[in-house]
Formats: sequence, structure tokens, C-alpha cells
Amino acid sequence: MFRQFLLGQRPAELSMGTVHARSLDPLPMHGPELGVQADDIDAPEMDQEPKQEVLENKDVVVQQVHIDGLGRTKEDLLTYEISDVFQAKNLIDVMRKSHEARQKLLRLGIFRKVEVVIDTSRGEDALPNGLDVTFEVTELRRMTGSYNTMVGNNEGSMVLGLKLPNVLGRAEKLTFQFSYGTKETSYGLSFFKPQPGNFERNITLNVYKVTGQFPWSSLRETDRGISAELSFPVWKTSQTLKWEGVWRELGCLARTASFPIREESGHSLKSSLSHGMVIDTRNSSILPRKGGLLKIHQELAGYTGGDASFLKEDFEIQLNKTLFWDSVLSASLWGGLLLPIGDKPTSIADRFYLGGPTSIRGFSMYSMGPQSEGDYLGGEAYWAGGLHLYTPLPFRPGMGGFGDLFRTHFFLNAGNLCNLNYGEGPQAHLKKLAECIRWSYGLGIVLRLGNIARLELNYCIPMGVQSGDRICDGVQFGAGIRFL
Amino acid sequence: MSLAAEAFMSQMAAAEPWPENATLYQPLKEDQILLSDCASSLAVQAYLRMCGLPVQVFCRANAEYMSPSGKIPFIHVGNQVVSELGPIVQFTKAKGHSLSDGLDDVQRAEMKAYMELVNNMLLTAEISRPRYSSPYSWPLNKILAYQKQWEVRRKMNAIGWGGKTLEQVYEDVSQCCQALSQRLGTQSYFFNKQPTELDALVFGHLFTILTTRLTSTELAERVKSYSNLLSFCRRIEQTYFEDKSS
Repeated sequence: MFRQFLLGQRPAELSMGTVHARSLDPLPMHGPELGVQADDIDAPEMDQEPKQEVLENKDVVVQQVHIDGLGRTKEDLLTYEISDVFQAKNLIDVMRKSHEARQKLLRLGIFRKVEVVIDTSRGEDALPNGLDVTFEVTELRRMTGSYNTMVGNNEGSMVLGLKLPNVLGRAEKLTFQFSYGTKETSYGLSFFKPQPGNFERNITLNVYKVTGQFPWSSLRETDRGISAELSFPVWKTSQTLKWEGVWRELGCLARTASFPIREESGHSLKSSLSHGMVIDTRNSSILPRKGGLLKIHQELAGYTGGDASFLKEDFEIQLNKTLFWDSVLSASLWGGLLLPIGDKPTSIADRFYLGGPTSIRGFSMYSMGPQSEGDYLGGEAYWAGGLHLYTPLPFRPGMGGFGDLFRTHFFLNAGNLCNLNYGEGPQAHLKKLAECIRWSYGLGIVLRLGNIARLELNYCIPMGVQSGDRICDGVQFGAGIRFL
Repeated sequence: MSLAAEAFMSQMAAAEPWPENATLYQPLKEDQILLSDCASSLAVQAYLRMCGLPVQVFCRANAEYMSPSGKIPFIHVGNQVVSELGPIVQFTKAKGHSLSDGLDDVQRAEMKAYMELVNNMLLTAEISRPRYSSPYSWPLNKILAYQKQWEVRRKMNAIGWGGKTLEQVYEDVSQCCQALSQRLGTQSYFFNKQPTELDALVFGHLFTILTTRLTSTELAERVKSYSNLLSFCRRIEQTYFEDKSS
């Protein structure tokens, strides 16, 4: 005979105050937070009145923690995630710590479902206030595949993806993606391994071949590369160290490409070390309401082999603040610098581009800055800033549902992209970046897509247009992940 | 090129005179250029000098990728880029400079036939000795060198030269040189007293074979045995390239 603790409240609103325990008819309650099983052994006794016991702050000892349902996962990986549950001293603590352990197990990305069962201890050495916690897990299948077709940019392609989660038993993940298109073919293989016990410290190895076409520069680029990336958290920041070796092949997209683009055609090898740091305190990456983002990235190429030799720095800052009436003020600043080392000029594949619906709205995609006969060559230094005011849609249609995905925004964007002559001093550089500033303002509607992407439809008025820039004044549509 | 494209290009070309800053691009001399590419480039340079058109020569590692057809040499004149001897001859003709205007139809047909002979025989003989190393860094230089060798082998197999031994190649070259030598006879140039594109082409190929540092000098010896071809090359070099031989 044993008694079990059951929870009679809706899991989503589990309050950590009072817990009522009573036995029920066998009604399985599988909620998103905690799933608990009912046992009907006590039911006949409890016909008349449910007995309620307030178990707040009753001392318990967690005697055993099991994980059931493991197939290929190695146990030593999981002991780190569940070890905290043993520290719990009372029932509230047990529930909270098991909830946290469940979240930790889910974030490994190897289980489809994790359920927690808390039961009294059984067996000879069971204490009267002892508890057994069991995590019932369902592992993901060994291999999952996906097949999509994509159409865009005058090209159709078929994308095949294969994912092998938990391939060696310790949360390693192997992903393969293959895209076969009417014009280009790309593929990539990626291997991810976290450190057991420290999921945020992980290493990723990539092998890929990617092709891209850039009509704004009449350029076609094929990259074949390998990279190794190490990620680890330091205090509140997330740091990344990466080595990358890429064989780049550039070619002209059309016979009418300008001569400077023709001169960039050919092969080059880039072997670079890079470091990135991210501090993200925003509450969401798309349409955040508060918090800030700081991203700094530097890349040094040429010291580990290869033809390309440069030092590249870029940063991204974003700050958000909620104002009155549910509106949000957001300010962002981007900047970058490419410094060639040695006397070889920089390659177009390393330079920065600016303009378009995702950066300075009102200008055509990447159509700003140095150009030759309509082909944009990119620049070695840039800065761009944006100021946005996001408000809910006027009259709030569809509030609480679909309407929440939309926002109206008023924006002001400004920026500049140019080449610097590094022989002059920093004063001259700042002066050059500050003259001929392009800027634009306008308003539009933003739609949030999941937590990754956003769509925008804006009415833009570009100003400060320099000769050679291509503008898109009036209505402009943009879709993407990273917006200024 | 299609007929319409050719017509369009002639119209564009005819509109402007030959500029001062015309440039010719070829691969790097020291370790990259193939024998056949060197010959083609020299042929184009000789032709332009014969026409009296100034051109500056630049060596670039990525010259063959810069070229619109993938073949070198190519010239950059004004806004246009033209590659290979055939199209370049057409291009200069559209600008009003031509060396073969004085020829009648029979001679022109003959000239074309000899040019084909030279292209087929001498060009492919040069290809059979690939000498391609790379100015790129490791491992790109190995990869590109393999790619080039594979391409060359494939081309040779396509024209049926894949199975030929070195001896057969030399025999073919000898026969070609004999035909050329007979046609030249005691004249200064192949047709009358004026040089034509055939002279430029033959000069380019023979001069390259004679002056290049090959592992075996068999090819050069075969050519040297025809004394009138030797003096022909020397004459053209002295007449048109003397100012650059400093």
C-alpha cells in the first residue's frame, strides 16, 4: 500500500503556495509542466469526503531519482542535469527542482517528451518522508528527415535535410542539408557536441559548400569551407571562438559586369580566426519590449595560411524601452571596419554592404556606396543607425490573437559606407564617414513570424542620396532575421 | 558569338577609335602560364604590333577567370573585353584596322586553313606537356593544379590525342612545320610582303616552342631543323619586338 501525492490544480498555474493532496479517480493528468499518474487504490476509502492535507513546508528527503526510458543516451550525461533534485528539502522545493531538471533535460535536444513522477519511497530502506522522483523520457528517433522545395530569386530548389540527434549518446547532433537548385547546388554537414554537464559550452564542426548570386554586384560566389567553433559562457556573456578555412571562387554573373568586378573573379583561400561576444538581455529577439543587445565580432585572416589577409571588426548595439500606451522605443547602431594587412587590396567577398529593407530602408538592396557602372563594390568601413517607435496597430484589431503579431512603426535610419585610405589618420576617417550621410524616414507595418523572422511593409522617404545610389522610395517590402 | 551579338559588337566597336590605355591580360609568366597560353598571348601581341595598335601587357594570377570566355589572352579596350585571337581580329577589323584586307577570297580561305592547322597541331603539342604550378597558397595550389591537369587530359582525349605517344606528337609537329615551311618558301611573310594574322599566329607558337625551357628540347630541335621558319621568327622579333627587348 502506498500513498501518492496528486496535484489537483491546472499545471500551467501551479502556485507554489499551498499544495492539496487527495486521491482521485484514475484520471491521467498530463499537462505541459508536470504529468502525474493517479492510482485508484485509495479510491474506495475516500468515497465520502476528499481528505485534504496541506503539505506546505513539510520536510522530505529525496532518496532516489530515476530516469526511465533511456535507449542510446549515456547515463553519465544526465546525472549532471538531475543532480540538483537531491538538494531539495521540502515538497515545494522538490517540485521546483524537478521542474528545472526537466527543462534542463529538454534543452539537451535529445528527448521528445519528459515527464516527472514524484512518489513516496518504497523498499526496505525507505524513510517515512522519503521521496522517489522518476523522469520518464521518450528519446527522439535516431534519424529525422525533411524535404522542402523553395522558390525565390528566379531559382527553384529542392532542399533535403537529415538530422541525427544524440548520435553517440551524449547529446551530439549531426545535421546534413543538401539543396539542389536550377542554378546552384549547396550542401552542408554539421556536428555539434556539448560538454557533458555544461550544455552551454559546446563545439561545432562544419563542412559546407554554399553558392550565392548577388545581382546588385553582378557577382557569383561559391564557398567551400570547413570551420570549427567553440562556444562558452563567461559571466553574462556568450563567447565564441572560431577557425574557418574557406576556398572562395568568385565569378561574373553576366557578360556586362563592370571591369572592377571582373578583376575580382578567380580563386582565393581565406583562413581566419575569429572571436565573438554577445550580451543579450532582451526579452525576445524579434520586437523586444525591453533590454539591450551588444554584439562584438572580430576576425583576423592571413596568419594561419591562405591568401586573404585582413583584420575585420564589427559591432551591433540595440536598446529598447517600453513607453506609455504599450509603445516601444528602440535604438540601434551598427558599424564595421575592414583593415587590409599587407599591400594586397581587399577582396569584394570580405567587404561590407549597406542599404535595403533590412538596413537603411528606402534604398535598394545593398545598393549604396562605391560602385562602378551600376555594380556595387562594397566598402571597407560603415556605420548605420536606426531609431524606431513601435506601436500596436491603430484601433487594436484582433487584440489577444492574430492582431498581436503586428505592429506599426515609425523609423529613422541613417548610415554611410565608404572606403578608407588607411594611410591617413583616424581624424580623416571620421570626417569621411561623417560626410555624405544617407538617411531615410517613414512608417510601416511589422509582422512577427514565430520567434525568428519578421516581415515589414514600409513607406520610405530616402534623403541624402549620393550619386550612384539606387533608391526605392515609396512602398518597400522586407523579410529577414536581422533588421536595423 | 551569335550573329546578332557580333553585329551589335561591331557597331559598338566601330563607334570609338583605339584608345591609348588598351590593356592585355595574361597569367603570370614565372610559374603559372601554360605553354599554349603563352603562345596565344604572344600571337595576339604580335598581331596588335603589326597593326600598329599600342597595348600594355599585365600579368594577373586570375587572368583566365577574368576572361569572359575563360580563355586567355584577353584585351580590355574602352568598355569592352574581348578574348582570343579570332574575336580580337574581328574587333580590330570593326575599328578599321585589318591586315588581311588585301587578300582575295582564295588566299583568305588558305589563310584560315593554315591557321586551323597550326591551332590543331602546335597548340595540342604544347598541351601535352603541362607545366602548371600555382601562385596560390596551400592547399589551393594543389587543388587547382589537379583541376587543370584533369581538364587538359580531358581535352586531349576529346580530340583523340589521349592515346598518342610523345614520338607521334613530335612527328605531327614536324609535319605541320614542313607544311608551313613549304608555304613560306623564301618569302618574308606568308602572303605577299605584308604580315597577316597567320604570321602572328605562327610566330607566337614557334617562338614559344623555341624559347621556352622545357624538360626536353626535342620539340625545339624539330622546329629548328626548318631554317626558313627560324629566320622568319627572328625577323618578326626584330621588326616588331625590338623596342621591348631591353
